[in-house]
Amino acid sequence: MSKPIIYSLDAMSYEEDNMIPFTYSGGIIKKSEIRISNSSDNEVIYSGTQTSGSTQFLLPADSIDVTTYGTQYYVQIRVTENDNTKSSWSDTRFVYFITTPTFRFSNISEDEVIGQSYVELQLLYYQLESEQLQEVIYYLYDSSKTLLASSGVNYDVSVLKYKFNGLTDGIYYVRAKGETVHGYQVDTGYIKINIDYIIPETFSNFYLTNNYNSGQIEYETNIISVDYHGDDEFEYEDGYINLIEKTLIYDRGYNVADNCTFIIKGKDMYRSEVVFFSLHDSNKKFGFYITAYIYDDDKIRYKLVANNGLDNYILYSPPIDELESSDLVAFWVRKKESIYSFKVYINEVEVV
Amino acid sequence: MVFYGTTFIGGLYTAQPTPTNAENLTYLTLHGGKYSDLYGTKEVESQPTLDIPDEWNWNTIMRADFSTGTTVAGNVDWLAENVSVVAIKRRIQGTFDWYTVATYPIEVEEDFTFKGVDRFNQSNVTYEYAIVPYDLENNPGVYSIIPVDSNFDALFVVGADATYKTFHTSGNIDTTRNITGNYNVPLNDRYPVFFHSGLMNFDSGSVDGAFYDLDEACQMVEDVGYFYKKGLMDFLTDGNPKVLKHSDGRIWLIQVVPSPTDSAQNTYKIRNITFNWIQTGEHDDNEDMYWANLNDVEEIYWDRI
Repeated sequence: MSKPIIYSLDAMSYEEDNMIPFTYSGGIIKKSEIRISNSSDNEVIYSGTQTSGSTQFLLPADSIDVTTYGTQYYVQIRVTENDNTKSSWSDTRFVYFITTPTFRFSNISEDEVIGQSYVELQLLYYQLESEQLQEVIYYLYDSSKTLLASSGVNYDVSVLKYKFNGLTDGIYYVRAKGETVHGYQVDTGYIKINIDYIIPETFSNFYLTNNYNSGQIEYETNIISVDYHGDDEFEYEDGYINLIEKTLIYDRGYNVADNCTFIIKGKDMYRSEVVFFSLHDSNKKFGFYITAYIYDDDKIRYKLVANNGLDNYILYSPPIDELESSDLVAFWVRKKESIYSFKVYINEVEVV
Repeated sequence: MVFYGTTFIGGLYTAQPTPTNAENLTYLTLHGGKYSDLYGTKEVESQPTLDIPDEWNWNTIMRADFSTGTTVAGNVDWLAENVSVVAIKRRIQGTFDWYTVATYPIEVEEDFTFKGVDRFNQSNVTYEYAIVPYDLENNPGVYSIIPVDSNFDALFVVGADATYKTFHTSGNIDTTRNITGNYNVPLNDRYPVFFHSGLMNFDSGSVDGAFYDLDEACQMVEDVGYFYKKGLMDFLTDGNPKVLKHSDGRIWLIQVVPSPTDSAQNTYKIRNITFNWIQTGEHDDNEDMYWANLNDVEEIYWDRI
């Protein structure tokens, strides 16, 4: 008499329907029976019958009462043939029943918009009976779910993190799959993410040349990093930075070595003896600045002062009448071959 | 000394003392008002205007647009104190994997300005090059990408420190793809069954070329070229990996195998160098190029898994 043979069984979640596949080389199967026993005391904890000729026995969800983690169970199946002949019980096949693990990305949600060029995936794995995760693989797909990259098998699951670099704007899918020590398969499924970061204008700070003769690509940067490095917080109002009581300093990332032209635009600049703009060397010995003086008749004159070591090189604007705080003031300064030019504009009209 | 302008002192643009020369102006302040724009350029020939160009160019010194709500006055929002490295990467347009060409450590703002060459590029492709800042924890920032057509006109053998070239009209590459496997024809079938055994799958081939020395105008140097060809033979036999590339787009990471020859073509003055090679990796794989000593970018800056 033949007996069924059960395929090897991975760990199963008792909260899910599970199929137990087997083969049988005898006659036509009329029905099959299953019995699941605790391997420690041989107590049968589940038995059932399936009245079909299928060689997959459906074990319904929640049919197993698992109370102790680590308990090994064994499964046996026997079949009844069409002529009501019963086979012997199959050899035992061991299996673990566990609670369905939690396995998902903890830092990424569906349709998440990511404003950077990489995505760092963090996984959350939790299993009530402490079934350990054994391995995990991370996947990255394009918008049509074509695989772009994978991590390979990670056996070190003490840190469930992985980073995919080099992403440009667009839709991607990420996914992770894993397996527990007793063979339970976990899968996050496809999680859609949207990489969206502003690619700055780079045509002016990164240049490429294809050198046809030497067979190489030449590159050159013109990256200018100039920013305020101090601790002051600035207020911005209607597109203006408020520097009435504060000073904005740029002291690195550039060097005005010879000729230059500067344009400064502002408002609320009816002030006397205030240095609105200055540009000096690090010792503040050489350079130039823009200041102003208000006369008794309330007219204001702006002046450009350049230090030359002996006396000052001064250029005045004409007197300006009735300057309101809302009037737009613009300075245009040019230093060419040590000669300065200075123009003042009120509401974009040059003062002459 | 005081020069008088167009009117007496007190008039417009009068009282002009000795012009002053000032260099290395590196300390700028803005104060005493509400400001919308600050712009500096090295350009001094244009007519006075308040128009501030949107585009940066080589003359631009700084440009702060305070309407953006920031004090950034450069053309990037990177600060040297927040950036450890800037990487140059490339990939063929339309593909995913980036190859890191080079990295540049950043300590001060001036380190952001650099130039370099990528000698291991392929011909007949359009590349995307990216410039990528890494933060202090070596996380990559945004990829600023520029496309470029990569083309050249010859056959190149490129090593870590030298490049040799021969025009494709005087040089060629023939290859064989090497795989392992066998086939048998079952008795009851007309066609054989192929058994693929092992992962081996690489090209090998031979190169034959004139390899003449070229002058600065890329014209052939009219002499026997002994020293040039001796240099090439020493280069081919130094035992180091190289990149072999052709103007038609073929490219390999190779090792020259014994033994290159230098043979006369009818007359002793016209000589060809011939050598055999095997492919030892991928020219656009950072790991392969690193171990071939053709790229020194550290693993932390590789993108390919």
